[in-house]
Amino acid sequence: MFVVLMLHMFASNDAFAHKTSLLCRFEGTALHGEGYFSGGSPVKNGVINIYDLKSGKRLVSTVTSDEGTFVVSLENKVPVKVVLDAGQGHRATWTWDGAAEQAESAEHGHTDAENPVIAIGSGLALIAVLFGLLYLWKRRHAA
Amino acid sequence: MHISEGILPLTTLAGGYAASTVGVITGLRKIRDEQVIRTAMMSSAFFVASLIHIPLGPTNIHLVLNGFTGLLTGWSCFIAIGIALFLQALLFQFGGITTLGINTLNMALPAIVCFLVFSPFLVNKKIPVVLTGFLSGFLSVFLSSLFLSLSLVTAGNPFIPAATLVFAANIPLMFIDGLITAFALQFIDTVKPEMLIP
Repeated sequence: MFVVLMLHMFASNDAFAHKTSLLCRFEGTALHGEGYFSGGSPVKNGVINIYDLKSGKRLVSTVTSDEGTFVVSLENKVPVKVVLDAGQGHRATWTWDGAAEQAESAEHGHTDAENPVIAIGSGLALIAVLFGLLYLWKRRHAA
Repeated sequence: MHISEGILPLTTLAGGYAASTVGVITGLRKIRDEQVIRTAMMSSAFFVASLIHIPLGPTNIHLVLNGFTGLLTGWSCFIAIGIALFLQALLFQFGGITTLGINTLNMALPAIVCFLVFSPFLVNKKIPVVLTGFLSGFLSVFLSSLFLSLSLVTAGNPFIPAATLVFAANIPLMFIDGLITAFALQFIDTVKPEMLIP
C-alpha cells in the first residue's frame, strides 16, 4: 500500500516545471488575486475567469496586471472558482466553497480528499506503520 | 500554515530540506525506544489537529499544536511533525512535497524552541503547568507564523502582502493554541505527570 501511495505521489508531481499558481482572497465582496509562476515571476496579462461554484455560470472575466494581480468586485460574496489561464497550457485554479478558510487559501489551494474519513484513517494507519518500522529499526541497531 | 508547491525559490526549499534533515537525524539519534509510541501519538495528534477548522469571523483557522508536540517529544518532534506533514501533503494536498522541508522546519523549529525553553518548568514547577502550556502554545504558533511569513518573503516583494496577511490571520490562533495546550498539559499533569518529564 505504501509503495502504491509513493508511486501515486511521484506520478502526480511530475509536472512542477513552469507551474502556475494562483493566490486569491476576499475583502468584502471584492476578490483580490495574483498569479505567478514557480520562482515567483508574475503572470502578466493572464486571463481570469470567475465562475459561480454552484451553478457553473461565469460571473466575470478580467486579466492580470503587469504585477500579476487583479481585483474584481462581485455583487455578492458567493462560492466561486477562479481560473487563471497563463497561456501555453499553463493554468491554475482557486476555489472557495464558502467554508474553506481564507487565510490558508492565501498560501495554498488545497483540495479536499474525496472521503476524508478514509483519508484520515489511512493517515493514522500509516503513522502507526512508520513508527512501528522506526521502533524495529531502533531495536535492531540497539542489539 | 502550510506553504504549497511553486511559490518559494529553490534556495529556500533546499535550505528548508537541509535544516529539517538535520533535525530529523538528530531526532532519530536521540529518540529512545519508550518515546516511540508517544512520538507516534503526537504525530497523529498533529496530523488530525490541522484538519479541525475553527470558524473565526469571516474565516476559519486550524489548530497547530506544535508547542504541545515539542514539549512531549523533544527533538523527536522533527520526526513527528515531518511525518504528519508528509501525510497531509499526500492525502489532503496540504502543503506539498517540495515544500515539506521548509514546512517541517517552520513548524518543528518553534516546537524545539518551546521544548528547550519550557520543559525545565514542567519538572521544577517554578511556573504553573497551565501557564507553561499557554506560553508554549502561544510562542510556538507565533514563531511558526513568523517563519512562515519570512519564508514567503523570500519569494519576492509581491508576497509581502500575503506574508503580512498570513501572520495577522494567525494571531487569534496563538491564543487558541495556547489555551488548548494549557488545558492539555494541565490534564496530563493531573492524570499522568510522568509524561511531562523529558
